[in-house]
Amino acid sequence: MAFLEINALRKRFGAVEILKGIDLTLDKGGFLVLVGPSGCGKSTLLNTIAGLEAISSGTISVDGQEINDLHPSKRDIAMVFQSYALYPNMTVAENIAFGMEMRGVPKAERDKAVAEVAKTLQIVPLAGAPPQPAIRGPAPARRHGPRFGAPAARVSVR
Amino acid sequence: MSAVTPAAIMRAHPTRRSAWRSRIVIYGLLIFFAVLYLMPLVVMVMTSLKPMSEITGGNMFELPHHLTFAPWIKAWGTTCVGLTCAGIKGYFWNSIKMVVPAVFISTMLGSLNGYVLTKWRFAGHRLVFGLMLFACFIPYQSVLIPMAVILGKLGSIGMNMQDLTGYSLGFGNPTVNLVLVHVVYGLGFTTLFFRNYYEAFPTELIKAAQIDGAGFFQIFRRIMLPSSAPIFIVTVIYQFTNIWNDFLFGSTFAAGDNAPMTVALNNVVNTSTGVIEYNVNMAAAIIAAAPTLIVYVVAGRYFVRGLMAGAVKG
Repeated sequence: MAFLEINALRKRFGAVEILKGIDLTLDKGGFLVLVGPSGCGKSTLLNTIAGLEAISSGTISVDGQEINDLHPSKRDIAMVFQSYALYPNMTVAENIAFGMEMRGVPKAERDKAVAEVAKTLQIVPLAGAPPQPAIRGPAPARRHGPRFGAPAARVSVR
Repeated sequence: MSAVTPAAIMRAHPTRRSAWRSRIVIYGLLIFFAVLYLMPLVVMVMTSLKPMSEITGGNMFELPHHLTFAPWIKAWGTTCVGLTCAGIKGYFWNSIKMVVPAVFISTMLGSLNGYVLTKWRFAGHRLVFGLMLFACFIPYQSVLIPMAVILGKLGSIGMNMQDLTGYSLGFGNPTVNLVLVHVVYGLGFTTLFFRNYYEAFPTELIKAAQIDGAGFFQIFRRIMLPSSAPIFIVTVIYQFTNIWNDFLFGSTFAAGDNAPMTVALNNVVNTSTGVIEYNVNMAAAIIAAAPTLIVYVVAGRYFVRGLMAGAVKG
């Protein structure tokens, strides 16, 4: 039994059908790479899996459980956005811990998890600093600088 | 070769001189207009610090010979507004009591509206925003009668409440009425400001917060509000100035002891009995204008910065 199963997934925006019946399976621990020209629906597919877009028909299940109508926060998923989407008003550490805070994880536990992941990803010195100005989008020159660690850290404390 | 040739110097020289000339013209014009615009304020301040004998004597541009603060004290504490002679201080507080909640409520609602209209789009959001924009173009005068009818209804609810429970709960209170009027009238503007600002706010941040499990108000409070300082300053200054300076709604819906500062100032200046005390009038007018002036002086540069932030997309 595959871990992620998508059956006959369709997504329409008004009259325009973007996803025209996607069937897809993925085993636990597997990698899935989506390749295609822009506008072909890669992001839309990711958004539907994350629950950020409602689907028009079909099913998405994770570990045998259908998650079609679950809220994004209830799907136990993590996502790195194209623009990193780091909250500009919080420090890197606060960014990493925000999801745990929203799920009601106690402060001590959050701090421990942040310290651990910051060490693993070698971003300890950045933890107390604000992320790069996400509002203006990442500066191209710094795109793959050390701060890429922050969004990665955020998804890995999930 | 990096040496500058004599010909280049010759050519550079006249341009440097013309740069000086245009600078002198620019500064000259700026100083001229600054003086022109400051003139009334200077005359007001000087007149308010003179005794009456000096004012009736003639030259209004002359500095005061006998500096006196009596007109200020009289304007604040003892001058006659209509029939009561207790100064304008009560009306000043009337205005504060009306402006602070009206600005706060209309700004908060505007930012919530902007948040919903950009980040939680619903079917028909364009129509709703269009209608709210429409509210910006409604002239004050045309809402007077419908507003009076509604306030009349609220007043009768207040009277019934008073009879039943002993408390009117603010229904029919003139200050509460004015707050309501200004909130309703200002909502179109505050919504417009915040919608345009939040339009440029990255939606991916909202999506990330949703995945993190933050709810509607948590996202608003933790992600949107901390990033909204520039537009808050713009909106607060705009609303504060408009509501503080409003005369029409104040004179229509809050007469007598409940009148705001602007209405009281009119009643001080437009008295038809006795000598017109120009120095007291000037002092009262400066007091009436002071809060908006202070707001501009304190937050003025953020105002320009905030307007720019709202106008230019990242």
